[in-house]
Amino acid sequence: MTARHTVSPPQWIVRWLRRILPPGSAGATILGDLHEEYGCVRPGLRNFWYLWAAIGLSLGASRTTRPSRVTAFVTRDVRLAVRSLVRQPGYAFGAILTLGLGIGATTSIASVVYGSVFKPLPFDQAGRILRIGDQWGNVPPTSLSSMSVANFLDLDERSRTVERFAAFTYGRSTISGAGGARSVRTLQATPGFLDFLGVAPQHGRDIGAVDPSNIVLVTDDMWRASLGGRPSVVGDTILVDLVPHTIIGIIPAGFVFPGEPELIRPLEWSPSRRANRRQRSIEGLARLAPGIAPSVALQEMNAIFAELASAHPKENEGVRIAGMPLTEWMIQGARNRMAIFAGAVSAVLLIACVNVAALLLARGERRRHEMAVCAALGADRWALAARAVAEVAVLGAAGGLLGVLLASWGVKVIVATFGDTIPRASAIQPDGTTLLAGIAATLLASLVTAVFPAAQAARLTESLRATRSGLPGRQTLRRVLVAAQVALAVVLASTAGLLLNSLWRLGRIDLGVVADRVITFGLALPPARYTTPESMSQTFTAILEELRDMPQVESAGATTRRPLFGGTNGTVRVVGGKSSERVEQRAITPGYFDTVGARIIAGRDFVESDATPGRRAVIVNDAFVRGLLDGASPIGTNVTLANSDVTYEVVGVVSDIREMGPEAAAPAGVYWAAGSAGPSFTNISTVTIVVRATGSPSSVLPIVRQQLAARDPDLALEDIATLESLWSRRLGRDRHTAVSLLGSFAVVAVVLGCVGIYGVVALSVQQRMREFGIRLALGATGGRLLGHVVLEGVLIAVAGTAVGLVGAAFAARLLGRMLYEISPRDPATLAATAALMLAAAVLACAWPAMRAARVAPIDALRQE
Amino acid sequence: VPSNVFIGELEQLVLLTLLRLGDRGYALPLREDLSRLAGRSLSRGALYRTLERLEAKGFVSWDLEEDVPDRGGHPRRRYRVSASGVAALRASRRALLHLWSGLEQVLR
Repeated sequence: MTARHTVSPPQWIVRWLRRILPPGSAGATILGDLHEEYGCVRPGLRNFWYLWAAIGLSLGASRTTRPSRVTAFVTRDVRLAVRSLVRQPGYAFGAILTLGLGIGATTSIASVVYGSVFKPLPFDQAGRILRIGDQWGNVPPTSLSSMSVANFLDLDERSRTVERFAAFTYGRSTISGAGGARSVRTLQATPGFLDFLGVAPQHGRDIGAVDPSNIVLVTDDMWRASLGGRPSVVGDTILVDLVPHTIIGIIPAGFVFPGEPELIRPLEWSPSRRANRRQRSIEGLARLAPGIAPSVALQEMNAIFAELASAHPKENEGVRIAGMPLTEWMIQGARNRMAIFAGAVSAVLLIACVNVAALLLARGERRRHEMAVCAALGADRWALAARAVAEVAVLGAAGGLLGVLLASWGVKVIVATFGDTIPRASAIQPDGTTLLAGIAATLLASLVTAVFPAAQAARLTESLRATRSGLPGRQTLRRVLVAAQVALAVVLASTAGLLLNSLWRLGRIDLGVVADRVITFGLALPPARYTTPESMSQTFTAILEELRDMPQVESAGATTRRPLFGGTNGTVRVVGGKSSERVEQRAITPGYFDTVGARIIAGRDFVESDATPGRRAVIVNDAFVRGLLDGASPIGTNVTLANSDVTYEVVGVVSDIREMGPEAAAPAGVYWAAGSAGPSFTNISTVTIVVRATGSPSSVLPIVRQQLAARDPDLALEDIATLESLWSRRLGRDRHTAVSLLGSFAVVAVVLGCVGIYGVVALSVQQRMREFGIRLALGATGGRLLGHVVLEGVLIAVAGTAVGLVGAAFAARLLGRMLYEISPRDPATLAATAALMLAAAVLACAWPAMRAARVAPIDALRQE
Repeated sequence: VPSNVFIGELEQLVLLTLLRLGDRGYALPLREDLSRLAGRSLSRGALYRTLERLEAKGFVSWDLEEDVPDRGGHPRRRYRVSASGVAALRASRRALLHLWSGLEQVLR
């Protein structure tokens, strides 16, 4: 246990220090001193600090060795480079800003991707933990279903490849105290859960095998935010669902688990639950015995399941067991998105590098004369190349520093903005990884950037023939670089365009609701206070009546699931007709349809008298009529719910609502009145209230809270959302995230591409002033010259765009399912992107072209 | 102390601080006290180099302590000012006091 808590500095730095420090006890002592100090530095900063100290020591060490070629480079070339950059602050600023933005973006995304996908979980030997679950029929092995308690216990008893098992379920609870009631996410877990994961509580202890049920573990966040952050709270009591619970331990900071629970409570089973194989409600985890591969363990568990299936065929027919590493399960679905971000951001970094390389080349062209003089006076070509490299090194270092600063801010912005679509977002923060990623990006950027100018300087065979403005027409390399930039920009812009187009198409789909001014929230009645179904039902009815009486509320209703997030389905049979197993079912109150904006197509809506025990009225949707009644008039038809023989009468038909999201057609659905004879609210202690406001929905919320608090201070609102936001969540937050990130990258890329084109064309105009002057003097018109210059820029853009469009068709495949009813090669989007890029290119050429057209021949000739 | 062994200002500060530290003559408290008492924040490299120089001149000696916790298994050096170190300090103090005398008015 203690070994896990001692800290040691990054081994690679230690190895490096060993090499540069004096041998024997002198060096070892220094390492020890550093180690001791390292332990006292704040955890988040430790590795930075250690690296910094090591760099300090290495600089001191190099001073004692003899000066080398490297030292000469550092002392002479870098100093010269700094001086020459300071003399041209505009150029230096532009280059550093470009590199800084590129490095900053790359570093931020790299940190987020690492923290979310690759960073090891903060669990002991997390690789040995498998997430396991039931697998039915042909569903992919990645979707794990809940298990039954009896099967789980049998696995636990019989498996030899698994060291131990753990089970958990998700839930919500209301915590009440001085600050009012609050709904929190909870995890119920088997005893020894933290120990199973290999996490030691920072205070207190883990859940024990013989603990009573009214104990809780709280997370570090909750402990600090709501409980004052004092270790002495261990042993205190808090009210969970109005029942006093004893806090037995505090989970350490940095703990992550899917669903981000705030409380962990013991999961215990009554003897009847322990024998129950039918009710599948728990999620399983298995810690493999050392040296056992997941496939071996799964094979054994499936063998056990096969035995269980033959012993209990009724409950276990057709069920297998599937599993995947816990890490894998936690980042499911994020890999693709992360790959897109990483690809996009690499393109931005590449563009930034190419941009700076092109700038440097242009500078090199202008300094050709100077370089030629140096060469003529005896400077060897390597010395000249070293100067070019030094300049890049200085720009790279400054850009890298700026980039790391930007990234430490950028990581926070990305997590704050897109946190809910990034797995493990809460544990991502700028740290040593950010710094390392920044250094890597800087080195890469500097390398890419340095190659061209260094080659240019080293290949310098031109004599002093070069004029002061450089040799005309030697910009081929720059043109290629700028075209490459344009190509990358087109790839980014067109993928962003395709996504935007998908979002627009999705946005036009009629979901069947009128979303404006509607707010929804969950409301749970603590079972300790509301003990009978009647008292719950009465409370909900009274709350709705109070809401409807308020002047800020146009209408209000309640239902068993959030609107647009269906998924409770079951068997419905039309008496004397068809039946279907997948009919969406909801209990609602009168006023629900009005509030969400669904229309009654035939028959009538529910009225208050339908919501009384004994009444058996249901409303079906249009999809039900089409699917199960073949379009016949349904009013008066009888249906049965679930597998009971009780019949319900259809009294109305309501318009379809796309409960499964915009991409799926609305499922057949049945609604019954809450409080009637149907299965009702009373099965579920949480209902979703929907309120349509007369004004802005956010202004209603405080009034609703006030009213609820006055009724019962222990009622907590959960999952507050506007219907609009639920809608856009259904449209795919993935898509929103991708569009905003790719879109902003694309804008940066197009701007940088235009800057590149401008640079090439402007320099070319400057170099050809004399030629233009002569042409004007010989009768060429300004307009003709203008066209000539613009054409030069546009040709580069056309070449780049052509390559970019080919690349875009490939890149768009990565988007895969994020595209909606649009081909990755959608001609309209690609054409629009191309047109945009070319228009931007023309704009970029405008200023230099105008300069060329307005030149006075005599001035141009005099320049030479 | 042979008169040709030169003792620099930084070396003096280090020797004096080591004397004050007594039994706690380790590098970390030494660096801390130099900054706290003498207002000199030294880089790590400079501190270790100074100690090395003092050792070469015979002004300090050290014992190696093994098995100190929280050091990742690395040893620790406890520095002590040698007799010749004290003598050098004494000589330097004498010289300084001699030079100071009569200048109090000027430099007040």
